[in-house]
Amino acid sequence: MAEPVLELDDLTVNFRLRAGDLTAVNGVSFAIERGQTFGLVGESGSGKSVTAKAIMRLIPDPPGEIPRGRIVFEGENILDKNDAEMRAMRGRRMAMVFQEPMSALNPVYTVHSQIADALRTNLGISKQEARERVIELLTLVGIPSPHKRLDSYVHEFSGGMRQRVMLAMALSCNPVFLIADEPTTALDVTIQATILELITRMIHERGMSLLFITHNLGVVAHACDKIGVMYASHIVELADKREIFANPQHPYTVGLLNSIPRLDTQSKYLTPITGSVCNMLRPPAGCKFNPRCSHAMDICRREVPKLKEIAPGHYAACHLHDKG
Amino acid sequence: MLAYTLRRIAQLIPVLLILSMAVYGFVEALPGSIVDTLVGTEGGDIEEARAILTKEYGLDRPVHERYVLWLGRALQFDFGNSLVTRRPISLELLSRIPATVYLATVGILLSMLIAIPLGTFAAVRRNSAVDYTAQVTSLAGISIPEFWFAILCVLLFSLYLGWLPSSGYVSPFEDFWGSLQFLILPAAAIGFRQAAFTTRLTRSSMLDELSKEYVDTARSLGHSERKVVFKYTLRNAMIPTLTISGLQLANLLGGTVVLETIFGWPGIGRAIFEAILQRDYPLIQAGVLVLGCIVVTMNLLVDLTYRLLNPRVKFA
Amino acid sequence: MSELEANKLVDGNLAWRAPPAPTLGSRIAKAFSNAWYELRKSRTASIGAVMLVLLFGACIATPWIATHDPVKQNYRARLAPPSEKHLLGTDRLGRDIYSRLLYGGRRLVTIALVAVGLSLLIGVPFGVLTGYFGGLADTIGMRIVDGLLAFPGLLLYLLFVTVAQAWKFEGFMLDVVLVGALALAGMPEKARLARGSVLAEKQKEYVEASRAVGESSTRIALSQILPNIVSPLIVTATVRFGFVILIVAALSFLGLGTPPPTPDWGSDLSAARDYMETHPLIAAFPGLAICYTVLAFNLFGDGLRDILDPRIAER
Repeated sequence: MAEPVLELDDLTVNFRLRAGDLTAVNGVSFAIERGQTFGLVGESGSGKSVTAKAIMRLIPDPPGEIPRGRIVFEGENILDKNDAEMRAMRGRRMAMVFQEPMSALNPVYTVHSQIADALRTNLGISKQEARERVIELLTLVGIPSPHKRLDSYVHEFSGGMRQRVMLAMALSCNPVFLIADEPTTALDVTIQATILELITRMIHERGMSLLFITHNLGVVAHACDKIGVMYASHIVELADKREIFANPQHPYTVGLLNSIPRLDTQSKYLTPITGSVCNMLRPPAGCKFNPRCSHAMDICRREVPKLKEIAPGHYAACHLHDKG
Repeated sequence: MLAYTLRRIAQLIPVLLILSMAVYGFVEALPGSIVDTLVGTEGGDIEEARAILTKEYGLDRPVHERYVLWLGRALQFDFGNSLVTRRPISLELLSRIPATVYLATVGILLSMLIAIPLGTFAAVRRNSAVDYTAQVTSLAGISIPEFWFAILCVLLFSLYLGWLPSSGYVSPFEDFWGSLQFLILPAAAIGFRQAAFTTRLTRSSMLDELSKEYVDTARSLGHSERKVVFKYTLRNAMIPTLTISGLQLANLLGGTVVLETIFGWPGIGRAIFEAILQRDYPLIQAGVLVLGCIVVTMNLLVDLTYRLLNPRVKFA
Repeated sequence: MSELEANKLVDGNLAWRAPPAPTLGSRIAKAFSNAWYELRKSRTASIGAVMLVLLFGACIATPWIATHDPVKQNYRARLAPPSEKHLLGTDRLGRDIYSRLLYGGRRLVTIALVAVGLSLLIGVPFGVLTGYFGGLADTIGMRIVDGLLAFPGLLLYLLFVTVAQAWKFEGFMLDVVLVGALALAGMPEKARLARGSVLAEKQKEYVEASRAVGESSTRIALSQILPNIVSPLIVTATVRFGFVILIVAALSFLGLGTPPPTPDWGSDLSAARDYMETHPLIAAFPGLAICYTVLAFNLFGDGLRDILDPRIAER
């Protein structure tokens, strides 16, 4: 089997803040194969966005630092690369789409100039060629009359259109890997589906790999092949999409699935997960989910559970699966 | 944009009216009248002189009539004559305002030349030695009284070192290089304080912008850090910075009084101040009115420029 | 009550008990204790606070810590350097500089406090009301503010002081006029801030929610909107203190402040100019006093701004 496009191995990201030290990403490991879509699911504060930024090496140092772990992209550990090498990779091999396009796109430059600039920096093409490519890209993402919108500014587009622009920009230099950080969260529900469909279609057309970050399990169900569930800086469960939905093995995942309103059951009430996410500056000892877990045992309060393969291709980090 | 401009110009008019009323009211608030001042300096037949002057200055008419008359003449740039020099006030103003504009503009340009790079550097290299130096010096700059700084400069560069003259003025049109030696110290005094403000402003604007998401987007596309800072962030941060600098320039026009006095600079600030000392009320009125109008107009221009520079509000 | 308890099932239904609503009194108390804790977070604010405490302490304690009568002249001891008897030396008329600085500072700080306080008292309600009611009131209000702002630099003060001096105001009355002019000139800034915040808050949902529940407009304005504009106003006011000190010093430097022999940092500085070359210290001390005072306010204001404005936290 060909090597995975991206492999995270025990990635750990710390932040030194005025209020204290904080581990945002703790020993995270997973792999994304070529052409595969991986969904990273978790609530806000679980560390999924930090993971994404770490992959692109956009974590500022200070206050962030990566004390251990490897990020192997196309066979190379990019944590070893220097600034210039990383710059060459960004845009060209890997790209990112952010959650809120109004703040992620520069308000004082036209849409055309931002995309064209990316093209010329990464591909070194002429102004004229860049212009044509921009029109091509905008058409591809479904923006009507792109040649008229070239000199428009970001705020002149609607929310869905802005996200399309951001997608066009990210894909402009033909990267092999795309990270989408909650791309649909800020959009109206009706637009969400369209954008989601657009992203998945473009990924498949180009044979790209996708890391899709979200807190919304419904979105993940549609778009992703493999799913990783993150909680408070750890990966707590990792499996194929069907496995996760049919056979969740971590109490948190179960809780997440239970809290989705369903039309096919008779329950009158929603069952949220009790409590709230722990304070990451002073996390509880042992498994960070234990205060909220109805299955919590003694060992859960002492030892952090390791991510273990409990079935072929299905991993969970929970003491419930400790053998013996 | 055009509609907005017209609307703002229309808003100007009540402001200018209020301004003119305030300025006119100030003279009305004074005890006695112009006639007393004038007659007091003359000898001779007082009663007749008073009657003539009263008629001449229209003091036998009610306040609002006099105000309208004065305003009407003012709009035609006829401010009457100075009580001290007996020459037309409009000529006085015309000769003095350019000197202040010259000083203020040079001061601000100098300050921006230093402050913008310094502020940017401080923001990009946060908590570095440069950052701390910039922060400390700019804090000092806004805390040190301008006139004290000017005096210290004169002490050092003029009295101890003898490099520069302590006061005086030569028009740049007469002798450009010669005029510079008189310009340096006052411009530096203005520039130091303005630079302190602008450095802080630039630094905080840049810090604000650098924390925004589009900076990461630019980086994620593979642009060099230099490009990210100078092309993508600075442009955004300059909008509020330049706007406020423009407003500061407008404010300087009336704030140079003290420096002009220290350095013997023949500007409008000093002219008004001297007029105050000499009780040349028509000159004071005219000077404040003209300056006020200039300031209001400049504020409008700055606002319009801001709208032009900031695409988000351009079409609002 | 922990959230776990709150989420407990009661009779098969999820019971959600809201915490008791905070009263205004408890909110103020909490704000103060938060403020104390927060203050220590910022080094600049702490330094500024210490400097201010020293300053205010000196102002209050002046009658006890001054060594001489500030207006008493002593020709035999004129232009003396700092010594045991005269801590900072004497000026051209033999007056003790140290005592003059203390009394001058007292007056200056009092003027500043009153002026800024007044500008807040006038400006904030003005801004809140024009912002809340909008329409014609807003338009007229903003034109007045614009009119006030049309006076650049020191001009407004020059006018006021000229009128006052023509009416032969002296000493206290002159100071009153000065304070009035300062308050008036400082008002637009506060009014604009207040109005801006009101306009922003007006849009927010909780105002609509309050109205839906039937609260009267003024109550909404005061209880919901005011606490949110406190932070920027405090910062603005603190910075304004520094400016006011500089303005008053500049005016008296020009000779437009209270006439001699009243101790005043600005006029002392102006008088010292003649002796600058031979006795630079006389010009140094009043200047340093001004710097210290303005710096104290600026540091404190800066620190406050850092505390009140959430930014990327870093060490």
